[in-house]
Amino acid sequence: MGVSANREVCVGAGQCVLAAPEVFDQDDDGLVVVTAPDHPDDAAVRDAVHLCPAGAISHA
Amino acid sequence: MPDFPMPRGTCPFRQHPGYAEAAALGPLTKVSMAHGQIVWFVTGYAETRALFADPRLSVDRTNPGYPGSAAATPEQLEQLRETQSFNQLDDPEHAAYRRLAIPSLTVRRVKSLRPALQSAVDDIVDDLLAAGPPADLVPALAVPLPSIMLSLLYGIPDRQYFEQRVQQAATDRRFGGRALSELSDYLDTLLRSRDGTGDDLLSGLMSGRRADQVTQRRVLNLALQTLVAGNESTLSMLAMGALSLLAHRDQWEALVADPGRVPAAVEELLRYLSVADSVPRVALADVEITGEVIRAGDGVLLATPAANRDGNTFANPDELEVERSARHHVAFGYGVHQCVGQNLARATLEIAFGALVTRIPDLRLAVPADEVLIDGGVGVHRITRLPVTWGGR
Repeated sequence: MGVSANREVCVGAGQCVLAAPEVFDQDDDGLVVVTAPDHPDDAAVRDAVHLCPAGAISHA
Repeated sequence: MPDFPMPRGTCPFRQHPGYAEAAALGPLTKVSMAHGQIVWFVTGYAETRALFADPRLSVDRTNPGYPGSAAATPEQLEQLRETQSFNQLDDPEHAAYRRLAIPSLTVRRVKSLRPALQSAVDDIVDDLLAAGPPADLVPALAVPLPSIMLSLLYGIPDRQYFEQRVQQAATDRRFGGRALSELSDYLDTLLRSRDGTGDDLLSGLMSGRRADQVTQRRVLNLALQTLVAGNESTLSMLAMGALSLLAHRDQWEALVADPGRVPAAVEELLRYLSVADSVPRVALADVEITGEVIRAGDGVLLATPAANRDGNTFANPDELEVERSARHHVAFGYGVHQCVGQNLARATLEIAFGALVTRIPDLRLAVPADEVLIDGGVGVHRITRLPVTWGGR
């Protein structure tokens, strides 16, 4: 449960890092890393999910 | 049925009147292109976003039905296939190339380029102030800054040679083509000298070339087409963005009062101007959307200027409101092909407009906004001159 990311479909746009920098980062390959999976489902995380162009992140 | 392309209005920052008329017909309508080709014209925000993200829509212009390809001969299609860049390929091939480019364009990497961009913009504004008013912001700012941005992204050693040709490629009708061909030779040589270990874009591309994931020709095409796309779109946003802010004085003054609003203003300008215009796709399978069926083989134009002015998504869509939250615009597209350079573009625009509002707060247009003529119809919109003044004159 919590915030999760699918690195297989990630396209490295960085939208999640801009929207919720305390929850998401990009590794050296530019792909998404979830740094705070237990982060509450707040507006920033919802923005990140909405803005991701590849549908790579979710909050369950 | 409306024709496409549509004539632009006379005002540089208003969208084509025809887009609003098409949008009034519904979120999806049809337009007639050259050679009698009829394609879908998508103006609704939700529909545009959904179709950008739909893998059944192809970006590959060699597929039958692609908008504008009606009269292409088999030989022309074969030639297109040879020279396609990664953003004209579908997944999974597209993803292999994109993954080589994204390490040099992450949020962190763009942040590391900011001091150099800031310093370049500071120099430009120093020169403007030293020369005194009046000035033309197109040659002074909008043309040189994208070439510097690309120099930094590509890790260019011979910056003067490179930047001069990048500027020529975007502005010189007579020698632009030759500049581009010189850039192609230059980048080809430079790419071959990179061992793939640096953090610039060319090194990133060569890391895959060394691993034999990709061909040299495709890597060079990627480098060149990223250059052209980044150059023209950033130039256009700098010039038209400055024009739009100066022509809406209350919006300019809001940024002068609080330059912390500049990042939000950049998103609003991206939405408001949508300089990349309509983006073509072709359906590979039947797609049902909003009560319509886009059939396999149908061409589709995703009209981002109209989607970004969809009143269901953006209140007062025809107004420039720098304080609105416009982050979800589709000016950079959406889906797996969304602009790979968007964060670098954002940083460049933020630094440029931030410097103008803080260092030349009394900057103003030296001619009426409607005398600043727009150049070209379809494709990236731009203006060729932006006369400004400041101080007592």
